[in-house]
Amino acid sequence: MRKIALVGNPNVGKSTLFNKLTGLNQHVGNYPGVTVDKKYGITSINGEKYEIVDLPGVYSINPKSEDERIVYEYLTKKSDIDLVVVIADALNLERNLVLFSQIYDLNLPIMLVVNRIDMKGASKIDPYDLSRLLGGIPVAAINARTGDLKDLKDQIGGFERPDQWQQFYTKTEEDNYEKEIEERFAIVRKLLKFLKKESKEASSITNKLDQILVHRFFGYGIFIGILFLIFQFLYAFANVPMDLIDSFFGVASGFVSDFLPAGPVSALLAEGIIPGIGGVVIFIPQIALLFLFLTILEETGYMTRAVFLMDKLMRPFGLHGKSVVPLMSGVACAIPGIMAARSIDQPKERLITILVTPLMSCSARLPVYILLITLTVPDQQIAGFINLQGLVLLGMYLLGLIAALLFGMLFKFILKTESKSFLIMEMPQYQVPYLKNVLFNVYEKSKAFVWGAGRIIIALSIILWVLGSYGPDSFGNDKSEELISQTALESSFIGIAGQQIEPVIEPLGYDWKIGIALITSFAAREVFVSTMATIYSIDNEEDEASLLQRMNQEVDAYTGEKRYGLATGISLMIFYAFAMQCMSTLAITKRETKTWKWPLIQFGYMTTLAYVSSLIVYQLLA
Amino acid sequence: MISSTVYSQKFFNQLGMLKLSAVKSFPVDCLVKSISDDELKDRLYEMGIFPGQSIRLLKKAPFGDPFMISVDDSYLMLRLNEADLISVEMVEKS
Repeated sequence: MRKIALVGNPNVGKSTLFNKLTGLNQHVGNYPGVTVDKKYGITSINGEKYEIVDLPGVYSINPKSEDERIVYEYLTKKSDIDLVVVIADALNLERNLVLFSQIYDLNLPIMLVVNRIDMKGASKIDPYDLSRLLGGIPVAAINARTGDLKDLKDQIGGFERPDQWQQFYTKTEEDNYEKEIEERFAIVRKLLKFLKKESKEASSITNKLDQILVHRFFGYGIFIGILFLIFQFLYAFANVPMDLIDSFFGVASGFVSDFLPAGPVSALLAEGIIPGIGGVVIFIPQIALLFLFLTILEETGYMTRAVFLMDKLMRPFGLHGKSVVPLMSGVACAIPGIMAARSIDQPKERLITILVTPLMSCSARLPVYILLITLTVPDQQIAGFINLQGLVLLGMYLLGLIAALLFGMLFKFILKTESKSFLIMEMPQYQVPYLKNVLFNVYEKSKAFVWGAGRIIIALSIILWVLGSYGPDSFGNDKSEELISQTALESSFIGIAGQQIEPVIEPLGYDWKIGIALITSFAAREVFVSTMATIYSIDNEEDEASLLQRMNQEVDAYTGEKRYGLATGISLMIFYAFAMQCMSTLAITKRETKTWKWPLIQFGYMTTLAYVSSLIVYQLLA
Repeated sequence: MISSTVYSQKFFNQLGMLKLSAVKSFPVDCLVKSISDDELKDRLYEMGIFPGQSIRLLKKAPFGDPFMISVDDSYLMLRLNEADLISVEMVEKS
């Protein structure tokens, strides 16, 4: 199979072309030792199969950033590339051709594709003229979104290197890199003089929109409005499929346990594997919807305007203008938020964003907050009209945000970085989003989650199930069925662990029953509610009223006071607000950072924070 | 060569040239006079910002940072720190 490498500046439609050429026939792999994904796909051109590698978008091949290093090394060290296709934007031909000239001078088999040829303000290029000016290398003019690619495919299929090859620029002894770039710009400019150029006035729409969208008042208003709408849609549209998925897997479990003969296999399937898979699938609606909106914002060019508005405000917290999106997503779910951090180019700011996003109060914490607030916070009015319970709930969300910002600040000082933080970013012209790109991105992100994090989540679910279903007694002589039923939770490994940690959590105001719930919550925080129901032997998990009554009647054996008083309630809520009790988040952090180091640090700092703050709060209130 | 002491002066570099970061009015056309030595120098050159090029300061973000400029046909955003490296001469609008 012949190999093609696709290279170009960022925002020139490289991914659009790649998607158009390969369709769903694309894969994501790794470059050794780096966090950038390697995208490659198969396409068939005139009956022959080609492998296309979509290299990261770069402005030069001078290896300064990780992306540039990847491109440089791929082009100079791989000897099996049959063709390098450089894609250039007709809206900004000059700078794009400078990159082309650098790659051309590597003396590789090369061709040029000029994209967006029919956009308003684009350079009117005759591919034939340009090809002649470039010494006969093939040039194809396309519109990757709408136009057909037959001409491009023909040129790839019939590619032949021109006989003559003349270096654009030859480095002399006294030339430094800056001199080289100046020379290349001068050469490209000279070349372009021979081509007719359309008068440019395309950006007038962009200019007009920018008057409003980055306005000092309207700009922020619109930005907040857009975020508000996204999360309204996220809650409104994701809940329906999530409930469906939830009940589907519930029914599936029930079906398996009803129809398979009772025993370890049936229990493993019904209580371990099926809920484990369900726990992965349930995140897909949120991930898909969030990326649907984010990709639309990215495609239109609006996202860079949001960065323009937010960058200064986020910087003191070690974050980037783009960190706003992951943090806001974190209110729904940290997983898509952490995945969205990928759009942050600065490694340090991206890492900090990933580390602090799970501190935002996600939707899984809400059932826990609601149960505990109803149980422990008096239902009364402050100042006549403010409901105290509602105020506490709001407080929990604010607490998450403040903690995320403060820890961002802390990490800013702790984490070391090779390169200093900077922001030199292109602001593309506004354009209508290209549906195909949007859907591809949604599909790719959902797939990345299922394959990248799903396996870890399912494996951990099964381990948790085993530990929650079997105890030391299970391996004795009478391995009765009761041990694998839920009533055995207290005598399971997790149950014993919950009892063992009682001395550790007692200063926070918790007993061993809460200890068990803390451990099972590692599967997902909302499991707290069902674990409590199990421990208090409520048959119907949905029946929160009876769980509330049981928990309300619970009395401390020594003091005779209510087990769930205000101090314990607040302490427990703060623990849930800060502790890293979500293996799915850890799995996605591992996937995004490509090492176990950062999920472990995340787990360590969040759980320590949770323990210390709950301890302080309980000791002050009790 | 220009030394790192440019940071000690707020509006002008060592040779007395106006820094882009100090330009108050916008939109305004500027001619790039020099780029200070910095690890970002190469990056600015690659984006088409080097002596002799004309750029246009279009906007500043509501809190005065970052800047939006246009170079040739493209729009770029850069932070105050980056604008500090660029010395310019303001061009009268025709």
